Amino acid sequence: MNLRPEATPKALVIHVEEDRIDAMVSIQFKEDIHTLTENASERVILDMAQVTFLDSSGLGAIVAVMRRLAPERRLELAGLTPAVAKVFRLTRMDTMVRLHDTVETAIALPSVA
Amino acid sequence: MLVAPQPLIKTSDATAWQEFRLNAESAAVRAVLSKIISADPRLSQDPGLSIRGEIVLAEVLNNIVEHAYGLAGGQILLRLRHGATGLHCEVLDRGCEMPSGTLPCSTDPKIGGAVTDLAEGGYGWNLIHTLTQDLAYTRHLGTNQLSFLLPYAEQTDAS
Repeated sequence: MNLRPEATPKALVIHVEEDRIDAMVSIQFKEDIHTLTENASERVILDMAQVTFLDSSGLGAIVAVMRRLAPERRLELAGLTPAVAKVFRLTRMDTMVRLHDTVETAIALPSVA
Repeated sequence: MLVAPQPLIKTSDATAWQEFRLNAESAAVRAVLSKIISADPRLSQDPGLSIRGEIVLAEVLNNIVEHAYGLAGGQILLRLRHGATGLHCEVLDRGCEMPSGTLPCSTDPKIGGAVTDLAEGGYGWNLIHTLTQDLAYTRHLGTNQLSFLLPYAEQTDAS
């Protein structure tokens, strides 16, 4: 699983350098993100710009990460591509997680609890 | 050598069934989805339709890989045919029967409470029910058959 963490002053950004988060890789994805966020600060931003497809198992993995970080820390997502945004909209998970157009806009915004 | 006679009424390509056979493995599911979308002019030219089709077919096929066959493995037959209002899809496998022998209903996992109360699964059948019409399941002589229509027009989500 190609995940590139980048520590910024305001958040831990994890660039997901994979095309698909699906049944083939979702368990590995979840475990690797858990490892990377073990000592993470309050905000973790997943850069999803390279991910062109996410299925329900990938969504479940992201929910697992959100649950693990809560309540003190928060997962946010940036750069959702159309198919990924569609899955978030259809399941209404877009109402449960803060979404940003890009990592840059996410970092520029103040953290809101 | 016998040559099959040509049908009197020539069936256009648009109405013929396309068949795809694959092993019940997540890598094979990835491969067949990519093949279906790149080979089908209607899907490859309509990004919204191809996204909806890829989501539905990924959910249906991965359900068979994980739940119908599991570790035992097996074969899946996928048949697609373009119709007047959408893409007709049939998926056959010889794995386990659906729990209680019927189609899982569209369980709507609870959304809106605390993040820690969110379910980590149960979203797949929701996506399938939302994006398809005429969803039907039968089991006959050890074969599961799931059929549905993937409408060309967006049904529930305006974007």
